[in-house]
Amino acid sequence: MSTEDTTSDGARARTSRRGRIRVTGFDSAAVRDRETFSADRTGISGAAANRRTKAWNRFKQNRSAIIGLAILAFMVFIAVFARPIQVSLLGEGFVIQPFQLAPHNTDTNLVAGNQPPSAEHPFGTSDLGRDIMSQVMVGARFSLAIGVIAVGLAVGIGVPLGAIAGYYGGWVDEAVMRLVDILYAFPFLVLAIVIIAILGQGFWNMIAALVIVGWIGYARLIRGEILSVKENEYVMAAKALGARDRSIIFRHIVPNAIAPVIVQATLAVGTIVLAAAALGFLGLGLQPGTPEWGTILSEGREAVIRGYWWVTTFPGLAIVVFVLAVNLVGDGIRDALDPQDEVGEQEGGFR
Amino acid sequence: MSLLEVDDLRTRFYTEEGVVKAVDGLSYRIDDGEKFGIVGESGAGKSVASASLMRLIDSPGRIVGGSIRFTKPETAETFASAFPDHVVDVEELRADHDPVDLVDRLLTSGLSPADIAPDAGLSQGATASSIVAETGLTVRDLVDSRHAADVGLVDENDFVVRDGNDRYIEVTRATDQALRRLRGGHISMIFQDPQTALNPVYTVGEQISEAIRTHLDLSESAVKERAIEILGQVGIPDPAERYSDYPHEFSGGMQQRAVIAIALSCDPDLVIADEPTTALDVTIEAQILDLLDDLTTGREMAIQLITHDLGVVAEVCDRVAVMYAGKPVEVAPVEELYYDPKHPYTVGLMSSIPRIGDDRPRLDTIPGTMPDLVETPPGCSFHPRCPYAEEACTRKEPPLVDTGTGEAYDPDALEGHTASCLAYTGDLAGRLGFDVRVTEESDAAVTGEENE
Amino acid sequence: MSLRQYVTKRLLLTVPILLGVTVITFLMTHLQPGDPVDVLIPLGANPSEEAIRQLRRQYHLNEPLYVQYFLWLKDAMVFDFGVSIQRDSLVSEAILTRLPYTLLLGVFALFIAVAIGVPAGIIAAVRKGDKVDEVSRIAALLGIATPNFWLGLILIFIFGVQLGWISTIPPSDVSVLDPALLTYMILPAVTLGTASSALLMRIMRSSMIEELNKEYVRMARAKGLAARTVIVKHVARNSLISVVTVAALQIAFIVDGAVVIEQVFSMRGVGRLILQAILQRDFPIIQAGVLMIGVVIVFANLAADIIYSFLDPRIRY
Ligand code: SF4
Repeated sequence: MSTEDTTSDGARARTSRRGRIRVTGFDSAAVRDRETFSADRTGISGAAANRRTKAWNRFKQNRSAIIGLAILAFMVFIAVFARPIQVSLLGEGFVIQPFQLAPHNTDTNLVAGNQPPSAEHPFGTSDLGRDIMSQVMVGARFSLAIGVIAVGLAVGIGVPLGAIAGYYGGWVDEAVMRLVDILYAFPFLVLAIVIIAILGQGFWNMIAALVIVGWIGYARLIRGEILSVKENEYVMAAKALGARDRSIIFRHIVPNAIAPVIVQATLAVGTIVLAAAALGFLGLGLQPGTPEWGTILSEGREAVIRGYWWVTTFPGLAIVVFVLAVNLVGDGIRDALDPQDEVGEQEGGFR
Repeated sequence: MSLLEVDDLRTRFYTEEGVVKAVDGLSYRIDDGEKFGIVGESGAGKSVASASLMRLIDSPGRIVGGSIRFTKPETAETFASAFPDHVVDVEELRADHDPVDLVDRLLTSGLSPADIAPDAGLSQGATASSIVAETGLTVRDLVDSRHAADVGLVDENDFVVRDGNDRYIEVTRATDQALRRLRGGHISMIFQDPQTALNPVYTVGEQISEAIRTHLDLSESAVKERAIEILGQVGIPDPAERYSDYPHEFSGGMQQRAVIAIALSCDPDLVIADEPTTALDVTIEAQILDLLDDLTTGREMAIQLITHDLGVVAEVCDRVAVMYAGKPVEVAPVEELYYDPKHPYTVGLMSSIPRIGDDRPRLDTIPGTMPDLVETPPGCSFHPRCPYAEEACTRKEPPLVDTGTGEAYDPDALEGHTASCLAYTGDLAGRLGFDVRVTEESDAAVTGEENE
Repeated sequence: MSLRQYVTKRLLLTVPILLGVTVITFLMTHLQPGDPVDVLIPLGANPSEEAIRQLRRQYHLNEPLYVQYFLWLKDAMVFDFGVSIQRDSLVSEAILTRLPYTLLLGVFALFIAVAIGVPAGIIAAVRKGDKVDEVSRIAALLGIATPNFWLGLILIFIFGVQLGWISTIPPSDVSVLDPALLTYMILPAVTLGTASSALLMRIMRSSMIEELNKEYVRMARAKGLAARTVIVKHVARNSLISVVTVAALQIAFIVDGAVVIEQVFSMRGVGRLILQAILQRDFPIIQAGVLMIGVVIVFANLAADIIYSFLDPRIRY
């Protein structure tokens, strides 16, 4: 606003007529030095809660996420207590979980097959005469285990690979990312099917197939995040202090880039369970007769055409509820970690 | 002649953290063709105030009170004929209603006398007739106030008011359709960052044409012609060529010229320029300000210029309001404000501007930051940052008064110089110890507290 | 750079990826445990030593691996994958006769996904936070959480078994565009499109919300444009640009779904062919099918990039 630099153009310099202005006596030090006024002495607390607590508080307020979490807890409970769990150690069997919530045994045929729901068999029976409710309850074990293990391993492979690719760049990056690009050319399920075709069926082969397909997503995600935090000050500082690369990556970079991975991994548990169920349905999952949700459904088409709706309905519903719950929790975590669009959650008002 | 009358405007945002009083009791006038500035740091509420004028406040924000009257008679008349169902004729109302009656209705609907006539200092138990007698309240005053719709005097959507030869548009009551006609056609806006204000996927020309097409009834070729013409006027070389360029093909300064072209394309009566040069570098800033000044002066358009930079105001404006924490703290003609600032905040803003050849040991910046507007400090909201603050400042909220006479702020008195500081109400024990010196041509010193 | 040069450059970039795809497909028969020749012997057959030697020679199994690859690639370029092991037909023929059914199903499903997903996403974004948004969010989550094969089975039960509106088995021996087949195709396409439309809707919504907060939206409104114009002309146009990329990913998703849905609805398609081949360990068919899918996806991504560059003037080619 100094006036001398606007004098070239009289029309613009409305205040140039009376010369230069100088203000004295506005002593900002007076504010810092004086005593606090009585009215201001209270309530200047409010130490900022740390990030994790804040995220948790936001999560707690998200009703649908809490509902999802409750459903998941319930399903884990069922999975654990559906049937006793035995481990064998040195040739002897130990029962580590003696409870049995499932009303019937799942691996022996009980009664005539294809019975509609009744008091004895609330979800009906399968064509082999097995109690579907018991199968669904025990099946939770397989589906949950597959989901958690496959996602865990995929994250365990994808994050380090992506982190290394992003941090070092150069040919390491090229090699990893080209592999990612090539694998991306195959749809998720098709690739998994092919891998199972090569490896053969079975629990661990299925996990292997899902992991080989699943890691690429995390590698891509973490690489992108790392590229964006790599130049941050704290990374530079760590480098300048002579920290080793490995410690820079895993101490400084990954923790800061991990939020989207957590969200992605949570949602992926749902996707993986769906994929596993599809493989089971196609007859490429676990051994036939295993009470895994998808595998129970593999005879679904025949059953449905003959009118035995309960054979498919209940195992399918179990999948829907589980995946829905996972998605609710995943969305909740995302909103909690990244609260950018919380403004404007009231009624929309766009004219 | 007056163009815009804003009275007691209050805009709030209902957020999770609480109610943000972004604009809290703002009143001012803009005359036809006048250049009015609103100055303050970021967060002072100036952008929200401007968006309120165009009713561009989205949820969770809301205009909760006050009146925004667009008083250009010709414009109001076109609206009256376009929206005949939304016209209020005060003369008819006057014939049918008695002000005492109406005030009585307001009182029985639960309003207090202070709500009805805020500045009159009425007692709580005042009756309708005593209110009318004391304040001289007329039917027109009631129509102008926000309570008109409450007593059924006017409809919620009646926004064109006619009183003899007087007519205005009440923006706060305007229908969506009327708002669209107003926006761009009569009040337009220049945005801060041209890079984000232009839609990247349409050509610059199309974005100008779009505005013209919306408001003027022209053939497609005439629309394009006009758009090219205005591109030329804002100083884009080869306008016919550049018409079909995309925004990213323009430099920052040219993008802002294009934004100005859009704002001026339909000959609005009022242009709101929201920090129009903040995103640009200094050399371009001067050019853009020149351009804005030239074009609006030539067309007799009024400007409301919003900025944090007192220097920009000095170059462009006739009168200025300084805002702090959602409220106006000083309103004055620009010369007065410069050579004789009255409010410590204004003085702080001025002293924090670096100058060439400055011999001061350090800049006296305003300490601290703008308070958050959910819970403003008690009393004078500037007191935590004011070097002259006293205990009294934390208790009493200073009203906006004439710095000479101490009378309450009258927005209609355009030449008045008002400020809200206890120094001008006689409640401050000490004195405002700043000193404004004008050197070079004249060496007259003007002191800051001559009214005491 | 002209558009033509840009497309050429982009095409060249896909060459290494395509090569990688062929390498992986080729290696399939070699990665699995055991002698590669085993996969060429029909299940249950017990060929003589001489016959095995003959097979080795025919498939160049005595050559070094890279020679085998190039010989295989040379044939693959002209879509020659030899004779199916389990059936008496050329692999290429088996695939090409079924391709139209899969294509029809996929296009139909993609159409449904876009027709529902995009408008629903726009509405949800504009009505963000209110009832409509909440309902569409739950619908989308349900759509994502429902296994497509299960949804297909439920639809078969309701419309085929209970209501009897449609047949539960596809019409046989009809051409692709036969009305009977098209009618039969409705349920599979709806099933397949549901999850896709849910995903598209969520993406469209978040993209719209991001765009709605941009300054050009306020500018468009300040010009006096009607809300509908602002949303359709300005916001949706920008959002669609980012959604195009995602739509390409949807093609992979739909191919996945087609494999399962063809099984659910007993349709003659490439997906079902591949599945049958896997159960019969008919590797030439699996290889050909997978390679074709890989190539289609690579080109779909290429197409998305090119469309993207058309839609977004900021892309410099
Ligand atoms: S009222 Fe007090 S605190 Fe406020 S500006 Fe005046 S002197 Fe400063």
